[in-house]
Amino acid sequence: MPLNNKVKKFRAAKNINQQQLGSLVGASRQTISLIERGDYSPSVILALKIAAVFSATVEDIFSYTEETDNENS
Amino acid sequence: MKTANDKKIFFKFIIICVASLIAGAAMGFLSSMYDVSLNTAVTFIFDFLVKNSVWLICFNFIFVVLGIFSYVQSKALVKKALADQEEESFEKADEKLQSCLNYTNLITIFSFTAFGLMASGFSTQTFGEDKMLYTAIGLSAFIVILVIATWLQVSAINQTKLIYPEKNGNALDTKFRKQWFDSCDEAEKALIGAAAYKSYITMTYSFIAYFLAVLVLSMTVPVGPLPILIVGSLWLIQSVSYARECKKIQNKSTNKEKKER
Repeated sequence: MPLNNKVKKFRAAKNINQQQLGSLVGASRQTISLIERGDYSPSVILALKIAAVFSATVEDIFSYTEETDNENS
Repeated sequence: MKTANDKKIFFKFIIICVASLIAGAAMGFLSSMYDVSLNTAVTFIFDFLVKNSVWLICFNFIFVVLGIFSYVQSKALVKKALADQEEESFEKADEKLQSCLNYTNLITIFSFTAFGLMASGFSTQTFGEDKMLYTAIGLSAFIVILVIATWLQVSAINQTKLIYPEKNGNALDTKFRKQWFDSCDEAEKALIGAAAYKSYITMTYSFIAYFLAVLVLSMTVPVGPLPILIVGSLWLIQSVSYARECKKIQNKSTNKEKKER
């Protein structure tokens, strides 16, 4: 399920590292890294917490694209 | 309504059952036909393992050295990661710490197994007059190895807590596993859950394989009913504990929903 995100971009703009972001949202540095790489899709609660840190909406940070197989069918 | 795929799966299942029946019959026939050879071979292997169990315990010192080496490397990597705060450094440190912990697990499992083999030699008088000497060497090595493995494990966990400061739990505490799990975030819990489920499936197949192996052996070698009882009871514990935990988690969600209404 391709969930795109701009967490790294927002984090760089706020000048905080993964550990600091993790502390703010109650997640580990590794989880933040997995989210940024697209290897983990956060829960709604975690996504909301991340958005709140950046004073943005969830839709500003995360976007979802349908898989190409579904589009073709 | 059964689909074509369901029918295909059903026929595949029947073929597996028939093939298992044939294989089982063949194994039973061969084991009774070659029971003397199988008995001799198995007895030779058992005797060899028990007689050399002391040296098997000492062999674990190789894993101890590898574990210590891994720990020293991980300590340097953790220091580097905390200094430069680079993602890659953290990944390398994490990997090396995991490697160190894997070694401690291997040390613990092999040491206990080898010690158990040594202890089994007492009832069969395998060591003869050298029993006290073998016991002294084996027990000393076992205790030294376990002390080092415990120290390695505690140290590796303390290093892990440096790169994951949100983690809780003292490795020597009996409640450590629960405290550590409770301090994991959603992604880590999901990872543990997925790995645990895979382990559950692997163990289910392993129990079947071990059960069959012990069944064939017990027909030709006088191992007694204990191995079968151990496999059966472990299999039962795994199934019951899994089902119980699923129900507990499900009931927790249901009770939460009822309270909110």
